[in-house]
Amino acid sequence: MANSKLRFLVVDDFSTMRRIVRNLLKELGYANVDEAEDGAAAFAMLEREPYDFVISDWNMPNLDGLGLLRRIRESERLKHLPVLMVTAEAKKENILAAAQAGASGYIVKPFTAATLGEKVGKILDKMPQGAR
Amino acid sequence: MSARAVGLGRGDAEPALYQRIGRIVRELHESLRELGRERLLEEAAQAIPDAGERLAWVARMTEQAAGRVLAAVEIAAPLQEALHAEAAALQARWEREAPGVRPELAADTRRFLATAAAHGAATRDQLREIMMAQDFQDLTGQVIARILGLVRRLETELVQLLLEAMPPGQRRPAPQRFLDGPVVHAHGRSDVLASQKQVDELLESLGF
Repeated sequence: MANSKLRFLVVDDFSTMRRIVRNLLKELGYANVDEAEDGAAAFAMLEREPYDFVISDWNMPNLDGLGLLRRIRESERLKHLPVLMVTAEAKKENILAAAQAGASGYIVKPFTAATLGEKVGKILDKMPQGAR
Repeated sequence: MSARAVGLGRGDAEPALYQRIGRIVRELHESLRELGRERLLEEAAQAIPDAGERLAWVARMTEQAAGRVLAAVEIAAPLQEALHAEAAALQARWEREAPGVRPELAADTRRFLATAAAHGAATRDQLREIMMAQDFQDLTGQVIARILGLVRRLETELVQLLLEAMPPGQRRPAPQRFLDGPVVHAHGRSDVLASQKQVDELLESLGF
């Protein structure tokens, strides 16, 4: 069973999608979920409080998902944080750019509950033991 | 649109290009004069913002609808989950303890509990499917936002161009249509009713 103590941050400018992801995480056994509506708000939250996992959209106002990912990877404290991109951007160059910037996974919208569960599980399996 | 926005940027081509654009604008101007420009200008000035507002309204309505569906699913899912869990647990007990009394009733009860547990699981899957289908709101919303941006740019450029071609004295608000479709912007309008309550109150005040 999932480690329900893990704390997730879901970043998307559409409340509908944040809510869908939050509900899916709850089904997977992760009830500790916060939401941010763009990359800038998300990064501020990441700087303030400890999180274990970030699920982020790409195309958002202020700071987009790729910008958020880069800031996380540049930060000494946050650089090991798993970041799963969930986005409608489906071009090969997008996926390559996200991978090069250090994305832990990439899901193209629309996606299924099974896909999210699988990607989250795969990323958590690779996390070093002891990271809660 | 400014000449710079045309964006050709090749020195030699520009004078000819400007001349052509100038000619097109003059022709447009003449055509407007001949066709009864005030009507055309009013329509253009009205139609583009109207189209944009309708599109924004579509985005808002779909977001609200998706929100209602998600709220309903969030209420129903735990109820369904509880039914499923309880039926499954009770079924397991009936299988294990198999009370010797009234074997037919016991068999029917076991069968029902098995069905309830299975249907509970199936309904939970369908609820998840209903929830996942709401992702259309994000996807269509992104497309609508993009088109809205384009419509607003067009509006600024085109309306500006048209207004420049029109003497100020001739500018009048366009008439409202009688059948105007769903109200996109009730705020600030005194001619529309914002709720069923207001509709009922109006009818009541007229003696219906």
